[in-house]
Amino acid sequence: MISLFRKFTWWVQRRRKEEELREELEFHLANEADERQADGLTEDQARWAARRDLGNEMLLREDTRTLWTWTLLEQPAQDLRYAVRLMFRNRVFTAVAALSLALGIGANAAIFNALYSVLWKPLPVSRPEELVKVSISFAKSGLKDLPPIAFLRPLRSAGVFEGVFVTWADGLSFSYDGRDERVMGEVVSGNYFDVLGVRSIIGHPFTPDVRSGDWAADAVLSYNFWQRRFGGDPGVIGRTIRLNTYPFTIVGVSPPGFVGLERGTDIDVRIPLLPDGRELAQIARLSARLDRGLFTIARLKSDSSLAQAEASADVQLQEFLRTTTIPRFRDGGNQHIKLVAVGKGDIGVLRQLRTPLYVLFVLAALVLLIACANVANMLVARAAARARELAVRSSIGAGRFRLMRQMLAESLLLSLFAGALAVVIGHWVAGALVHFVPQGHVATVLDRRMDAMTVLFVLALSLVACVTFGLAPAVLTTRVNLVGMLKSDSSASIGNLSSGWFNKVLVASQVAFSLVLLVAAGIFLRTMLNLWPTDYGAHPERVLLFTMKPQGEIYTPVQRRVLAAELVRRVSDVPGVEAAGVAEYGPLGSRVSESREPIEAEPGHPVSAETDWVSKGFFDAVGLPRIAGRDFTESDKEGSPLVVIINQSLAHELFGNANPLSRTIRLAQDKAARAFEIVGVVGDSRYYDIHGAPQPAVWFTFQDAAPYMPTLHVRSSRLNTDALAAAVRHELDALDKGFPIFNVKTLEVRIEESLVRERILANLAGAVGFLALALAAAGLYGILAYSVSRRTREVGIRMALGSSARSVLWMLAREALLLLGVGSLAGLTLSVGGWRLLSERMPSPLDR
Amino acid sequence: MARKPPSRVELLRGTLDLLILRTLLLGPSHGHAIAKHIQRTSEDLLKVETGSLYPALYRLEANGWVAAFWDLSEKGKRARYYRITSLGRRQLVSERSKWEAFTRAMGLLLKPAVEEGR
Repeated sequence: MISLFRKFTWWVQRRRKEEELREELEFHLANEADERQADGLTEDQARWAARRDLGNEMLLREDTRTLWTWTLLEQPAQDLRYAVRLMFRNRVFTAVAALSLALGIGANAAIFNALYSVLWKPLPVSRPEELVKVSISFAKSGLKDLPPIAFLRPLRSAGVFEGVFVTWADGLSFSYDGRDERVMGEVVSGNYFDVLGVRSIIGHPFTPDVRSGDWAADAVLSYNFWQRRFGGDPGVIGRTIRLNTYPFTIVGVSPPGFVGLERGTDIDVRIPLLPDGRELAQIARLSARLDRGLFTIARLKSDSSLAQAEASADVQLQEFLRTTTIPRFRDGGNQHIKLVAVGKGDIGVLRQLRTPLYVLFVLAALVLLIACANVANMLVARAAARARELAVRSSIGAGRFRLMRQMLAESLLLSLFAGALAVVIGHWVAGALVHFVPQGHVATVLDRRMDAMTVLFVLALSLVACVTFGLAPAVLTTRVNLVGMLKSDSSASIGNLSSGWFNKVLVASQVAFSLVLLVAAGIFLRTMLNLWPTDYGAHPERVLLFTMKPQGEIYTPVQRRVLAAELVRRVSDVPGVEAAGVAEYGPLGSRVSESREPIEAEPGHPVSAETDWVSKGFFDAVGLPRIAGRDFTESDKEGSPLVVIINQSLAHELFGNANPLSRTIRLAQDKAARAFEIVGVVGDSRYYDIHGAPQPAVWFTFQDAAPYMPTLHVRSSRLNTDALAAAVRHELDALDKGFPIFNVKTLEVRIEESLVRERILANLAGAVGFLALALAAAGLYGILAYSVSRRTREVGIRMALGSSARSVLWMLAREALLLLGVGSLAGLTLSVGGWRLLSERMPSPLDR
Repeated sequence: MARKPPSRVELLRGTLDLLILRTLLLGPSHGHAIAKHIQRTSEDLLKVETGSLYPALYRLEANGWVAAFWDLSEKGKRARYYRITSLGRRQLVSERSKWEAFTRAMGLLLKPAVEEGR
């Protein structure tokens, strides 16, 4: 056995080795010739005899060379080198092929990236699979409840958990310099970061005191918030910020990509929970009242199973229940601990992206198929041009396998090049995808960095694509007729190949698939347009929404009511404002999917209606048509007679065709049985759920309720809403700077966001469809142009023999039309089947 | 039967290595001399093909059984000389005993047939 080491050292000095062999053979020949001359031959004869004796010198060299060459490695390297040369020689071909592949792969990469980060990516915490959510389930009702803080200590002593912490997310009023803003805060146990195994990128994940159970006014910023609000300044550590006016000290910044346990929820700042029983007036959420239930997360010890831990924790619960004084648990009957793994993370608001992403994944795969077919087609056509080269290579001894390998090396290079391009394209497409993610009152983040997993996916996809588009041409084109090829011009011998079934099937399937994509895009677009509400008057783009959060800890209900009324008054007077009003929820808000109450005019006949609380001016601002009666006024205030406005559906349900004005309604579950007088009727609308039919609805005004997180709706008479937004902010500042506003957008944007599913599909499927169409058209053009150019001679002969130009044209067009016809038929069949499949998953039918 | 003039015999596979090593036992030598020596010693019965000699030499060198060095030949030209290594000697011993066993076995098998044919 030749040692690998020696082989390698010889390979390194292979040039010297060759030289040595050459010199050695020369010496041999000289010696041999000398001897022959001594035997009596002439010098010339002797030299020739010596050479003859040596035999095939090339073969000899080749034989010897195997000792320092790595055939298995060097041949592929040779193939690749040759492929690189070819790639550079055919720049246009390379660019077109790589670009169409890259578009296909890139689209897949972007959607994979989105799916991965939304659904599959493990949470960026250590050993996420050990994390469980603890809840208490009631045997009687089957409902679950959050464990109270009083149970935290027994839970920790169960001995099966490595650590237990609680969390609660809520909006906070943040002030640092200038006006207050509303941020998402999360109140967590001091050991939160330690149990999750998350370190801060600067500072500490809470100070050591807090981590060991004491309390201090520590704040840990999220990476995004740190970047957005402080520009990533590392000097923030130790600075004081105010949350709901209470001073906190920034002690650390959590790492990028860490968003806690709910995917997509962008928490800005985390602060520690107060110790048992203590309360902070400014931040009620910080308090650790013993009966308060909080999200409770535990990390299992590595040697305890879920069932084991559940049993141990249950023992603690039964013990706790015997002594607890908290009514809902003391009187709750049989209760048990339920542990649910949360390592995958709750996908929360991102759930609505799931179906569109899966659908798009399928569509993108189709595009890739089309792109592969295109490139395969191009490769076959190019192989025809290279037929001579292939024939020459095989005549001097290249085996078919070697030729195929050469072709595959070219495909591989092409697909890797396309893959690299695809990462760039994918990143860009992913960026476009993020624009569709709805931003409600809680900001949503999508970690769209092209992570290693996506790059790996791209690599795998490139290889699959390489085989898909490279194998068939490699097999087909290396099956060459040597003699014919070398003798004649190349087109004749390979001609029957390109006009063969392979290209035709490819082009027809391209047509079919792009048709499927276009039909899909059409359906999605139609669905979206059908759902686009016309309920909100003209120009939803002129309606500006400002959500406000006057913190309940700082402003009393009376203050909030007065401030809201004053704000509406001031903003209504701003020039350019047609109407302005506040609503607790407003149409299509992100805060509630719906708020419903049973309403009755006569006892015993409740009608379920959507409810909201609004001020005067609201209906005109959003453009809900007032049908009868009046709007709310400023005199509809606390203490004055209770009034409501209802929509036509509710009026019809309660009173039939009778006039509803001045009638009274009650809330069926209102113990005080307060009567509300109907003072107005407005038109129907899809108020909370844009996908459903208009529902009965009732609007109260802020008479016995104060705004909690109201949204100011302002209708502008001009299209330029920027100036108006500035003016409204100015009014707010003049009124009170501690009134954070956020989530400023137009009603149009809000409508778009509630149609996120349909919009993603309509837009991206449309883009994908046109991409596919362009690819198919290019493919069709390519094959026709090629087949026509190949038949130039035939056309000439036909014309010479008297064929009319028209009949020749028809002869050529027939081929194209046939391909188109077959492709379209197949495409339509597929579309119908695909649509059936889809409509089961997505209830957004055409026929609405 | 009249004796035919001695015709050249094809070398059996694998025996060339053995012959080269044996030749080098006499002292360092270059390729051409090795070939000549084998030819002469076998009374011209064995002719070493140059086409297999040099690849064989390089293979032996790669195996570490011979070592190569450049030296001046008897005629004063630069030539590539080979000498046997200790690893090569061991190889030679084992190859030779294998060969002897082989020829003995062949002899035993072939002898009766020859006698019967007489």
